[in-house]
Amino acid sequence: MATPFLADGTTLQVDDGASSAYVAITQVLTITPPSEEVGGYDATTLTSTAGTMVKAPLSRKEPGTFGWSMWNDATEKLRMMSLRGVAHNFKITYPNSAVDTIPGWISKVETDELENQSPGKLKVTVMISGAVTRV
Amino acid sequence: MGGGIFVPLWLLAFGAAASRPPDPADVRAGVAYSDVVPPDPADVRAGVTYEYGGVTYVGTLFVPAFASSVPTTDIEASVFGQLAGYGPLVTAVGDRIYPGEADPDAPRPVVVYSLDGTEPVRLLTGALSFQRHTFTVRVDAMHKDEARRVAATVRDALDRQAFGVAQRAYWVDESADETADGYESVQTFTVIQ
Repeated sequence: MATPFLADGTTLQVDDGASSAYVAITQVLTITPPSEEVGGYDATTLTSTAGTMVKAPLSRKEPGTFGWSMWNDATEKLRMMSLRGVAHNFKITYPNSAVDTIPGWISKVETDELENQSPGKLKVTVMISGAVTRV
Repeated sequence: MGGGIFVPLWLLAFGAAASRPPDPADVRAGVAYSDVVPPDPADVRAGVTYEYGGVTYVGTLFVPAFASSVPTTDIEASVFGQLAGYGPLVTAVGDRIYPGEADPDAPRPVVVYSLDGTEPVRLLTGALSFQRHTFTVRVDAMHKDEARRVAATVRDALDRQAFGVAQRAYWVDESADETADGYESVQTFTVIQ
């Protein structure tokens, strides 16, 4: 029987210090991990008489974005905004000890809709700038 | 001048007036008071009346003196402390505020509160972020008007208030119905800890 993957215990860090030390991002509720995408191009020859186009994969992957939601903690919000637009490395450590190291920059710090009786949340988006290292 | 002791007539009148000091259990711990010097109303449990020199005082202490002996980490104790320390509710029901079940011999109206459930909310790391408790507060009364009035007072005591270990309480809903010998109002509250 397959063992289900539980996200409980997953941590997120950012290399935001002058000493290149990873520092935890606290108050994180959910993470949408990176998922590189291989796009395609139209490979249909001009002489083709087939009724369906021919597609082929691109040789390079599109790194895309990744992001997380967190409580709208004033200190952490200011910290996320100070990191916005500056290249960093992010690290997701999963409960099974797998680690994703992700180069990129915070492109957006979004305040989630405010709802009575619920603590406010932030949504943070990172534009990934290169290959993700998986260990 | 003569060597006799002069006692003004007004002081004699003051001393002769009736005094009914508050019970020590109703006074904030550590506050000293005597038959001559009354405690400040802010040091006496809300709704408790006492007299000095013919003057009647009403305590306004929001948190009751006995709350200091209640564990501050307990959400049920916090809700009880909030209800028992809310002056208008004390005026309406006295100390007839019960956990779970009311004293069957207690005169109505009575307030009965119970913790129905707790939902933990966690961070992705697994750390507990906060807890969301559901409380039911029932008012048993002889008549509909009385039940509704006391229920509104309970609502004033809890809705959107922060107290004890509770970050904030919210009134969720209310239902009301006749019972075999009176009327009851049942309200639900969400309490964030």
